Amino acid sequence: VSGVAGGSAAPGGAAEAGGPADTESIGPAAGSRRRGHGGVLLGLGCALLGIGLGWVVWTLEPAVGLAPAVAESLPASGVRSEITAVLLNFRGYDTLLEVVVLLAAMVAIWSLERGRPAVPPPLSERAEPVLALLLRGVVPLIVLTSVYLVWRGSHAPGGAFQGGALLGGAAVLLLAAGVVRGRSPAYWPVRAAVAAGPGLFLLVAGGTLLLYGGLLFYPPGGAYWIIVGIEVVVAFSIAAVLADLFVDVPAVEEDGAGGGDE
Amino acid sequence: VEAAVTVFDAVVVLLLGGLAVRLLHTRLLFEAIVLFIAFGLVMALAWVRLQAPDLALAEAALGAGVTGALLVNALRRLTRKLGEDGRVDR
Repeated sequence: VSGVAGGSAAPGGAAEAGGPADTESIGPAAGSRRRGHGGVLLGLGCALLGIGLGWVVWTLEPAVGLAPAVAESLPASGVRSEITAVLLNFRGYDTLLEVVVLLAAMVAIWSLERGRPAVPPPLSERAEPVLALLLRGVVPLIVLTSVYLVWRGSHAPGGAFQGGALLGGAAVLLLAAGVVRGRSPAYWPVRAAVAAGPGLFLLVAGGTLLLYGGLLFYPPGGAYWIIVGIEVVVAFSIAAVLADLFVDVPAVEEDGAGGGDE
Repeated sequence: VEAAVTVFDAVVVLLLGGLAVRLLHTRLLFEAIVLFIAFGLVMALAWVRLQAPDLALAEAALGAGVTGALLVNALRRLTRKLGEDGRVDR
């Protein structure tokens, strides 16, 4: 089952055909207006590249893909959704590394110079009835939907990333409105929430390596609960990362003196 | 029905291209952010039409939702530097 990722790469490749085509149509116009002859040459080059790429993609043989292989192994995966089976079972280590990349990005952002967090005044002290009503109606619905999406991931489109993103969106809404106060990563629950997903995933990977002789080899019958457990905790961590991206922003030079990019 | 679906696909493609061009050429950063969010939503529709509902959900939640909030947050900090309307001259 090691080649399953190829199946998911095929639709991606087809979709990329849209990119070059767009560049082709705007490239020459954008270039010539600003850069003169060099821009025209650049635009022509982009157009040629775009046409070439488009032609290659257009003439590709339709890929057989790995959908049949995935469908064949689906009953053994513990879940009924092909995507989730690939992401968390057949190619579990890809997802593990993705989650770790997210953690690494978070640590990199934490290591930047702190900006003064923009703290909005608490909602209770502001005359914002529309915002308050909106939050009361929308935030519970978003949380409910995110839980539903995580659960649904085991048998239909959905899963940890989509559910976690929604939950993170709800948190951003509450933070921006001043309902909850953003905490710095020095506050240990923030770090715990961000590390929980990758931590549990690594524990499962190490545990299955020791017990079943393979990285993320799930025991027969136990795969469903392991996958759901990982998804729930990873979704929570993704939400924490997204919310923290909103709170913990790098410093911006206030007076414009010695800004790094100027 | 098939003609309607074709028209819908054509509208999605034209909207994506149009939004992208407009987004790249506007000088108002706030307008660019709003266009980016709109682009994300139309892109989610495109993923649905390409039979990738997982990607559509992720695009709608991440590309249109959270990224939009982060960009607005960044703009709010940048306006202290760029002036109130966040206009960039190039």
